[in-house]
Formats: sequence, C-alpha cells, structure tokens
Amino acid sequence: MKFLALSVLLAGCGGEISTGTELWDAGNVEGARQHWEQVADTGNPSPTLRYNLGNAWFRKGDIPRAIGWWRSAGLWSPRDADISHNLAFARSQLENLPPPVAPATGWTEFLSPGEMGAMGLLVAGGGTFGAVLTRRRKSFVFPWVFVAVFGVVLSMTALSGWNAQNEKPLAVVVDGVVGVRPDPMVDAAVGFELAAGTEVRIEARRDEFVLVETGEGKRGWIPEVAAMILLP
Amino acid sequence: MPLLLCWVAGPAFAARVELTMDSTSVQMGESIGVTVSVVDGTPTAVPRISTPPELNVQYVQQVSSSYWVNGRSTRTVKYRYQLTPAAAGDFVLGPAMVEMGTEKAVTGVLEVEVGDRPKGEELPVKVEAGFFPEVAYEGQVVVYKYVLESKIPLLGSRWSLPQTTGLSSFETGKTGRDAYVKQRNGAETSVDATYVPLVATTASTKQEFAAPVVQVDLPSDRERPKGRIPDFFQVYETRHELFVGETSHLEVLPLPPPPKGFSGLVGDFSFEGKLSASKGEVGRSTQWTVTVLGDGSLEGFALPPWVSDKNVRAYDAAPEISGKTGEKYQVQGSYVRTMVPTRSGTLQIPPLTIVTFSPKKHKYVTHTLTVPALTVSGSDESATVSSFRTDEPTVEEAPDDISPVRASGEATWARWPGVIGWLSGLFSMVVGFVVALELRDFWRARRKVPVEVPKAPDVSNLPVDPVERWRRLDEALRWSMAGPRFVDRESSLQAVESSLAAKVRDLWRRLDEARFAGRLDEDLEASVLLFLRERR
Repeated sequence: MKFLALSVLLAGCGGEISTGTELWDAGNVEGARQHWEQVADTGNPSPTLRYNLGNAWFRKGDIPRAIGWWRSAGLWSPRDADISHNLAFARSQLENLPPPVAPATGWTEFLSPGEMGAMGLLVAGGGTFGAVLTRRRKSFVFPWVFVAVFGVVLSMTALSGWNAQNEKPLAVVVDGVVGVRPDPMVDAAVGFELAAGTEVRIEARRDEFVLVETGEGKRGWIPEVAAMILLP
Repeated sequence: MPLLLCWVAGPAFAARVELTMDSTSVQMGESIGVTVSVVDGTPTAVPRISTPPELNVQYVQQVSSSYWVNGRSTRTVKYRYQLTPAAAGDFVLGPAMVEMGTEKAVTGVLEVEVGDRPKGEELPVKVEAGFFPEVAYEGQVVVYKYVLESKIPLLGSRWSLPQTTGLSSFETGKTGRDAYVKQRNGAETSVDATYVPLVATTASTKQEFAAPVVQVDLPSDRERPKGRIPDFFQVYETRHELFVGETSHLEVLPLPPPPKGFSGLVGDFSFEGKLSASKGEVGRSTQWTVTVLGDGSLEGFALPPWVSDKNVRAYDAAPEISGKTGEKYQVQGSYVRTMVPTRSGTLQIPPLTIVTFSPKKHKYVTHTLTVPALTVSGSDESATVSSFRTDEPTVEEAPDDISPVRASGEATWARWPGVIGWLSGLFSMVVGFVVALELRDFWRARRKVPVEVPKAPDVSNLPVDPVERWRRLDEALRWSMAGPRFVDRESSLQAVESSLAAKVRDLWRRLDEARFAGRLDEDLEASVLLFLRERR
C-alpha cells in the first residue's frame, strides 16, 4: 500500500541521477551538469537532482548558481545537512554580501510544505476515519472531529506555504553585479547594486522586472533575467 | 508676636501677590513661616521662591479664603512655607514667582537676619566636601567627597548636592561609602563619608561648585503636650537642622596633543599579561589574559586589534571591569584574548603597545606588553573552533570542500500540492457530513416528547378480592399477546398464532364463567399463570 501511494505521488520519476554521476566520477563535470540539466527540463527536479546541479555549478566556479540550486533543493529538504553545509561553504567564498533573505513563511525553513501537507492529510484522514467509525458505533464523535479539523488546518497551512513559495519565490543574483532601481524601468536611476550571489526574495513582478527584497530589508526592481528564481 | 507684612509687591495686573514672613530675624536652630499670598488671582502652580543656599525653604500647605466687601468678592490664596537657616548672617529671600496661566507675577524680596545659635547650644555637627584631586586633566576620574561628622547620634540625614557641570558619571564608577567612629580626647565622633567618582569631560579654568546642604534629623528636646493624640509622626521626638558644607573647586586641564595610537585612557595604569599555558596544540585554544590596574575609567577601552596571522586565529572576549571608590578611584579590568594555533611550531605573539596619559607624570606613557613564545604541537590540519567559552573548547574537523554528489535517487518529482487540497476537501466533506448527522440527532433528541410506557399487569401480587383477581388475570392474558397496545380480546388474538388462540379462548371462557357465573374452577388461576410464564 505504502509503495503504491509513493508510486502515485512520485509519478513521472526517472532514474537519471546515476548516469550523470558516472560522468562526474569520470571527471566530466560539464557533461554531468548538462545531463542533469536536461533531465531537470523534463519535469520538476527532485532535491537530489537540484543538489547535484549545485555541486556541478560549484565545480565550474559559478558559485551564485550553485547557491541557487542548493537553496532550491532546500525548499524540498530543509533539514538536509549536506545542503546546509554546501550553502555555508559557498557563502563563505563570497565576500561583502548582505545576509541571505528569509523565505516568505518562516516555518518552511524547517519543514517543507510537502511534509507539512502529508502530516496534515494523515491527521485529517485519521480523524475522519475515527469520526465515521464512532458515528457507526453511536459513540461521541467530536474528539475525532477536532482531530480531523486540526489535520485540515495543517493541510491548509501547507498549501499556504506552497503558495508563498510560488508567489514570493527566493532568487539569487547571477551573472555579475545588477543595479537596483526604484521603478521597473530601464531608464530609472540605479539606487544601489547587488553583487552576484546575493540571495533575495521576489515580492512582485511587472513586465520584465521583479521587485526584490534583500536580507537587510532593502527593496528595489531588477531585471528578471539577472536572477535565478527558485521555484519548488 | 510675629511681625506681619514686610514688603508688598506692586500689582503687575489685576491680581496682587505678596511675600511675607512671620519674622525678619531668626536664630540658628529655629524655623519661621513664610507666606506667598495671591489676591484675586488663580495660580496654576505652587510659587517658587528664590533662596540663597544658606536658607532652606520648604512648601507646607495652601489655604484659600473669600470675602465680601461692599458687595464685591475678594479671593485670597495663601501658600505657606517653612524657612530653616543653615548659616548665620544677613540674607535676601525672594522674589517669589507666581504663575497664573500664561501670565506671571513676581513678588518683592525680604531681608532676613539669621543670628548665631545661643552660646552653649552649638551643635557638634560638621560638614565637609571637595574634589580629589582639585586639578585634573580631561578624561581623568575625580572623586567628589562629602562628609558628615557628628558628636551626637543622628536619626537621619538628607543631602542636597551641587550640580556638577562638566563632569559625568560612568558605568563602572560606583559611589563608595565609608562610615566609622573616631575617638579624640575621649569623645566619639561618627563619620559618614560618601565618594562619587566622576569623569572630567570638559577642560575649564578653576571652577567653583556650590556647597552641599544636609538636613539632619536630631532628637528633639520639646516636651510633648499631655492629653493630646499619640505622636504618630514623631513631631515631638525629632527636629530638623540644616548644615551647609563648603564650596568646592576644580580645575580641568586640557590634554596635550595625543600621539599616534593613543588608547584614550587617562590615569595611571599598569598592564600585565599572562598565558594560560606555555605549550599549545593545533586547534586547541590558549587564553592570553591582560589585567589592567589603574585609577582611570576603562570604559570604551579594548585591546589593540589582533594583527592578522595565518598561524593563529584570535578572538576577544567581553572584558570584565570592576571599580571601587574611596578617597581614590581604583579599577581593575580583565581582557581575555583566545588564540587558536593553526600550525605547529613556535608561535611568536607580537607585543601589545598601549599609549595612555599619566596625570602624575603630565605626559603620555607607552606600555609594552610582551608574551613569551608559545610552543605549538599537533598536526597542521586546519581546525575550526565551534566554541571557546569553556576552558576546553570543542574542536571539530571541518571539511574544506563541499559535500559530494549523490549517486542515486529520483530525478524528478511530481508537483503534488493539488493532492493535499483535494484530499483535505474530501476529508472536510466527510467530517462535515458526520457533524451534520450528529447535529440532526441532537436536535431530534431535544424535540422528542417523552411517552409514558404502560406497565404490564402485575400477576405476582394478585388482589385478594376474587372479582379483581380474575380481572387482573384477564388483563395479563391480553397483555401477553398484544403487549402495551392492550387492545380488545379479538384483536389481541390476531397477534398470536392459531394454536395459541384456541388455548387462550379456552382460558377466557373459564375466566368468564368464574367471574360472571360464579362457577368454581380451582385449576384456573394456575393454568393462566402457567400460560403467562410460557409466553414470557
């Protein structure tokens, strides 16, 4: 049953990690990266694939993109020690950057929306089953009803976190320094600059610009192409 | 008989204000009343009376009164004060300032003659105050000392200290106090000295500071009136006396132009450094403690920054500073620098150079603090200190590279948040349905009218009267077939099978014959009861 549920949830999965790893072990970092990127384009990349892509970009010397992929992997596996270590190591290689921005919903730093949702569904399902069973036995059903309602609330919280990750995603400035403007226009004066590797949160989008907020609370518009946007 | 109205001020506007005194002369040790009267005015605050430091005026109470004179109303507000002199001489009291909304009125002044205490009544109390030292440099700590000496026991004392403009207190400069008894010529004198450490912040020429005033509580020799209420507030047991100290002087000299690297410390300091161990180990911490002793403020002082060295990492802890104030201010500071060697060999710690200004020598002094070389053992692998708060810091190996790639795992994942929404909605509907059913049952139960269920005729305790006895058995027979519906005989027979119906008809026939024809049937009651038991 468990395997059936997993196979339903993980529909569309493929075993393409090991092929890239073989290239990696042979010293072909670029080949491994290209392979993993192609796989990533076919669907929603798993945390493992995102993590490996972070390693590949790091080895190629593109630390901002490496940070982007690792932080993206952290959206699904927020407590992964390897991801945390690699992120810390990569950040230590970059100097004079503002502190990494926090996600829009704080709890997603410790629990992914998927984990929270699964927990909520289990609790809601258990509560619903208990309520139906006690109803048939003509017992007092309301304790089970409360359990079910709590589970539904957890599930809704998970959906809210998922929505926040999509509506206000994290992003990493890549490909050099980018000017931050007070308005989403090319001819607007640059207020301040963000170096490559700066981790920001996208607050809004307009035309080809995104409104970003840094870890220091500074806000402004940057071109969308200047940032790697991290979607779950 | 008190002398009234010494001076009347001219009215500035419709209201009139006056400053009066019960007497123009007073002796040391006495107190007299002072009044500020406001006629046809509405003061908005208690009037302030300008007072020389040798006189102490304390507000007591307010009294209002109104008069009708020739059909015109006059309202007077009187503010009462008590004047206590602290020194003999001629003084000027006033003027008093009366605020009435946005307008202000000023009274005139009064001349007060304070006479010496009568001979033989001099109080053996002495007040002293002053700065130590009286000449200081900018940034130097000076101590303001005020002392109350008394040859008689005092019940209490309250000080009024002068404003110390150009001087400021500092965090580690705690006020010191010294109380003791000294003996001279067989007489005991109690001494209560207070020391306030202050930093001279602004250079100035010789500056005069006002004298401190102390109000002391002394045992009273007044005789308590007999038959009065108890002396709850000890009015008759204590009396108050004011004593004025001396004015004090302080001259603050500017510092000469500072040399490069001046630490900002002003005072006479000594520095001592000590290593927690003479031998170190790679990745293990060694503490270098620098102890500073001196008579100046250490606020804002930190050890000179560590010169970047690839062989050792250094971390400074927050300093621990403690100060003690007596005739002089003394301070001790402890500065700990934790060093973690990263390579083995002999570690030469560069000497510390600290430049201070010495008020005693009137010049800048350079202190050089050298530390013996530290022999470091262990492997040269890099180490990271995760904590250096404990004596034995936890040191863990930290990889200097990222974690390796993963060889297995799923490559892509389904985005399945929709599943959460759909399943949550499904569970919500089921739970909502269950709750609706529960609520429906609840309301039905509340609206249900209770029905009284008839009881089966009791055959275990049959009446003695034969007619009633047969009637009860007849009812029991019908009940046994039709139950609580209790219908007529024919209808009740329809509820049972035909074989029983014949038997019941036979019993009814025998019952009717016994009830209505008076035919004796000894076996009838037993037959009916047997039938009832079988039916049950």
